[in-house]
Amino acid sequence: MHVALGKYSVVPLIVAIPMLLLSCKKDGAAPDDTVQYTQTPVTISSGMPGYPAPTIPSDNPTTEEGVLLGRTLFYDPKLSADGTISCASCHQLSKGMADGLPVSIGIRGQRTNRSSMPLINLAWVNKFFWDGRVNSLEEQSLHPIDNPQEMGNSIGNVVSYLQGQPAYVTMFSRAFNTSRVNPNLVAKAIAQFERTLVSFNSKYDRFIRGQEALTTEEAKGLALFSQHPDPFAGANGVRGANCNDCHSVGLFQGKTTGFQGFMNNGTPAGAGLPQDLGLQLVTNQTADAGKMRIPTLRNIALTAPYMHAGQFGTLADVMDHYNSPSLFQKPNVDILITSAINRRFTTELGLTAAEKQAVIAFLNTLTDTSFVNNPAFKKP
Amino acid sequence: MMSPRSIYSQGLSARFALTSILSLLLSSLVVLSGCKTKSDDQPTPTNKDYQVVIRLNAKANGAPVMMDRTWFLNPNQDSVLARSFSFFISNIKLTDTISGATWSEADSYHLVNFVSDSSYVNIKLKGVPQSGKFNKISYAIGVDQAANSSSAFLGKGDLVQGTGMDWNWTDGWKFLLLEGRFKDVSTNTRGDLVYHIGFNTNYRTVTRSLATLGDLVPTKGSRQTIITDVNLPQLFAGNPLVDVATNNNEMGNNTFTRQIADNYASKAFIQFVSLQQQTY
Repeated sequence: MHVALGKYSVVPLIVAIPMLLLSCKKDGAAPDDTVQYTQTPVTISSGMPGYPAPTIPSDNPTTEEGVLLGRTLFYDPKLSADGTISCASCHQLSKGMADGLPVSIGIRGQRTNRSSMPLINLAWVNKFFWDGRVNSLEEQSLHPIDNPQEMGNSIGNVVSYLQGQPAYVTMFSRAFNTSRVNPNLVAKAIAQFERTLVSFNSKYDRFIRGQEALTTEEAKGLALFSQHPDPFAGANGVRGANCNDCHSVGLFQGKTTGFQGFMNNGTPAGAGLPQDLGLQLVTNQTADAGKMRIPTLRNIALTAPYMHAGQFGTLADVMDHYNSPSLFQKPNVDILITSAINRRFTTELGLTAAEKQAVIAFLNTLTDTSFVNNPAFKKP
Repeated sequence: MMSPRSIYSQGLSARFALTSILSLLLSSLVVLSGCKTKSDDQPTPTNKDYQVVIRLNAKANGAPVMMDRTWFLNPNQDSVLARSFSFFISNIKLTDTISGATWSEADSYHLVNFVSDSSYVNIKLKGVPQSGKFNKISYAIGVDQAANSSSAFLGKGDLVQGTGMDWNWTDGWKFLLLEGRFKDVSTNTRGDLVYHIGFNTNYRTVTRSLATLGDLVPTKGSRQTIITDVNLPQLFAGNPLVDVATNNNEMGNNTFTRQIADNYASKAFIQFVSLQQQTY
């Protein structure tokens, strides 16, 4: 074992240099990577009929070997400049793969300007980060490494470190049939692991599968959650909390076509931070000012504080925000918010205290304890 | 004879040599990473499964409409900005009126969903027989009663959750969704516009002749594209015309939403413009 590690880690480097200098070589076995491993495919699925299919890039199929490598990288603080911050520092399993902080903290205690996003069901996401600036999980996975406020490293340093670790080199060989570490493969491996972070076993899912009943209050919360209110329907109108217009039931997140899953919900600036332009920073369109990605509400009870800079500490605070009479007057707040009223000729959502509580009761059914206790997601 | 491993295990100098080589290699990798092209990551698209495509161009008064970008005038001369516009085209059938041959698409539920960076949507008809020749099309706007009333249809065609077209967690679909803003010039009123049109009573079937475009003859190795214009102002037609200042937030099952349904069933809503053939 040890000899083999030495052989596969050292010799290809010598051979690879002239080859690399001559041409752009795609990922693949170097001439001396004579041992070819077979990868075991991993299926990513919601297991739920009628849910959209996951998006798996054709050039990065999920495999057990790639996932193990990605998981090891995910938990390795040596990927950061000073060896203190790993991906898992800001994406903690017990906290729904977020970090419990208003904004995430990078190396040397640096405070970033946005909240860590929960890593849940990412194979069903088309745009990454709060502002949607990245189109693939592979691309996303490298960004924190060289962000000076986050891991503060360079991908070159990371590749250098990994190449010098025989155990890592073996894992790269097993996952990708090459002992030559490169940034692309680091990204692919982390993305593979992140795609396995699938959560479809909450009480809500068991309710949908007919395996468990909701309480009366939870069921009332689901009905409110799903309903766009219409005070003009019939004599008494139809009451609703209007959550489903953005957090579409099922995945409980925004749409995944283009930037349709980005909305401005009127959240104020984070503590000590300027107003965040969000999607406008990516599209340069003033119509997109303040739009942020609509994240999944799965495991939402675990991922406080809420919004892009942790502006709200509890789900009750979030409900109060959406119910606030001043929300409709916020600049550029989305029309799905300002069109939702429960009483005629008002300019507020107008939920009662009991209705807000019912929605929160329903949101708690989205907690998936098998997800946060899954040994396959923990540090290897 | 020494094995490669034993060579590089000899003392500090060899290790420094290795470090230098590593650094060189890594810097090469960094430099060369610039050579990588996008095509490395994306498979070449193939459209050979689809011989017949319907292109739907979002239009208003002859001009393309981009979501959240293009204001247009409706028949009541109010300005409208569509932020989101999507609808279901379903149960597509092609007919040859001469032979009487008919082809019906299986699981025929297509979501036409316009996004901000494009003014058109292509829907691809699956399994059109290559022996056919067609001069008539029929389709529906909306989702038929069977599929609209049962979760058993979940997963068929575009009947998937997460598109913003599902009413709730069990069944029922929005047939047409139009969200945006309006400016009523006469009253200087501004406001939000949200039309979510559903319910079985608003399901509409449409039959149209393709004869003026020429026969549709699906052929292996070629793609036939039926070009259509989707005229957004037509949604506001009728007698009386839709006044967005009065009806800006509509999602019920009532006479107003039935007027919208009649509008999307009209010839002027989806206009069949031309037939293009492309060999690949």
